[in-house]
Amino acid sequence: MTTMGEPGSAQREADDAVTELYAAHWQRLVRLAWLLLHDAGEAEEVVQDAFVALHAHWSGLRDPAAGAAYLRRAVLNGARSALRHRGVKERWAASVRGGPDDPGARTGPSAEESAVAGLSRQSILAALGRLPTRQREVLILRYYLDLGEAQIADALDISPGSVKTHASRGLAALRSGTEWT
Amino acid sequence: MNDDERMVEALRGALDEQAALLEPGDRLDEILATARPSRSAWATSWWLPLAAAAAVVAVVTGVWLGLPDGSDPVPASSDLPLPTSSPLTSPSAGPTTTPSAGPTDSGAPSPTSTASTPAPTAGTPVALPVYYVATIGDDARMARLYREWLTVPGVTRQADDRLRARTAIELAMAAVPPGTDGYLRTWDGVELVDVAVTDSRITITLSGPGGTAFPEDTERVSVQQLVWTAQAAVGRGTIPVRFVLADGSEAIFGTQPVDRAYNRPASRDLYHYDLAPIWVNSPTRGQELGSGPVTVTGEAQVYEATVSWQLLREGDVLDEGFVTASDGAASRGTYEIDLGTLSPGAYAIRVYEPSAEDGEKVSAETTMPFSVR
Repeated sequence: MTTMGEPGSAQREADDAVTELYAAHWQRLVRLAWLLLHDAGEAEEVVQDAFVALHAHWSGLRDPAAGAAYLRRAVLNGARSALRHRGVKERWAASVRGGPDDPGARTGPSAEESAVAGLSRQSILAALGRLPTRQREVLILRYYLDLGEAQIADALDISPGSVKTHASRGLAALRSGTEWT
Repeated sequence: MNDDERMVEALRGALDEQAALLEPGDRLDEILATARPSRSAWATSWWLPLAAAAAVVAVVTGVWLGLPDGSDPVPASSDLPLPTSSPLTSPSAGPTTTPSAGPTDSGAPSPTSTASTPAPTAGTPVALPVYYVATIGDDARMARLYREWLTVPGVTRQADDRLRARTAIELAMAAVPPGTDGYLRTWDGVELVDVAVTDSRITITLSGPGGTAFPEDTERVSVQQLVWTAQAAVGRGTIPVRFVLADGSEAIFGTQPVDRAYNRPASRDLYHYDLAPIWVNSPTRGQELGSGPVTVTGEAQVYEATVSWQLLREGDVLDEGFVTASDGAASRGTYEIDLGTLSPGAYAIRVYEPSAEDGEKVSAETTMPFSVR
């Protein structure tokens, strides 16, 4: 039954699609954003924005798989810009504090500790946090979302070859960063 | 397994458990309302201030490095230390026990074999988030949920969602996590009969309605305890939870009807209906930290976003102060307390909110024992 003032069929279709994609992907994407941002509120914001954008673009996608890929791209872009924004604020805060701005300085103990205690999750996460953005993104997409190379390449808008390179460099850096051997 | 494979395995585990620390709120309604220009008016009235608040969330330094001391926010199975003594009086016990579903108190329902039988394989037990009810401060009528991370041998990351849910609910109903006190035993006399999980519903069958000795709001929170626990264990978002009482009763505790679905609150800023205003997320209970600066992190939804803290050692206050959480009482924010470098020993961190009316009273608090080696 359609009456005046109700959303049109395209609108309803987008509502349905977003509702379905939400059920399938919301939690995992928020957690993906959380892994990238480490801020619960920001993570939900970024993923919510991605779903709202998906709704607006649904008529051009009309395919759940394409929708999921769209969401991943939007979340990664959103997280990256949130981090950039945060970087500005943090540099400002650091300059005010006069504190050290070198993440390595803060994480020294965990590397030291890992040598003693073996590989702790904390030391892995700390080492992951020290990686260049691309390497960190690739590793999280591969080992948290379990995406394949092609999907990662699509999500980050880079070539599959670069995915391979980032992944292997990232893993190598984690190994040395956590004093694995 | 070569080094690469071990690294990958460890990375997967670290990411999974870090991710599981976050229970996303439900925002479908906001998304749809925001996406529909014609209908957004009603939503923006309350939604936009929330978005604005989130935009100015204070960001702690160090994304991954908020815990620069080597403290681990996730109690992995092998290092989930559960002291056997009360955290309030003696935070000194080390990681001597393996958490199990077996409650030591008499009268508690026994966990089923699914929860307590060690698996023959060497699968790493997964840390299950389990929620418990306790009074939040000096007001005995105000009970809310706290979260513990518990592992059960045989319940691994590969366990199916039904086993995870069953185990977690049994722990929630029956167990007293070692090293805790003050958790209310609202489910005494009730047993978990069955859990069924589909994509659209979690159905929890209980043996009966249970007692009626608690305030009605505490009964409501007890039902929510199982809702949060089941949803977290299943890990697929806010799937509505239905209850069935095997004896045919119509309301849990006589007050919470079973002819409706239950869910966690629709958004993070409503979580205060269910969750205690102050949580300590790390260190985890009884965690043994390495050398280096100690940072306490947690969540708070308190007046003017200010939480007070005390560092305790054998009951004595070694240090104290207050910090500001990332958000005011309107939403649940995060806070971080830098304790500096501590000498080896047993400690407890008490995080609390003094009453706004009476500085003597405490309106919300929690204490977490840990040690430094």
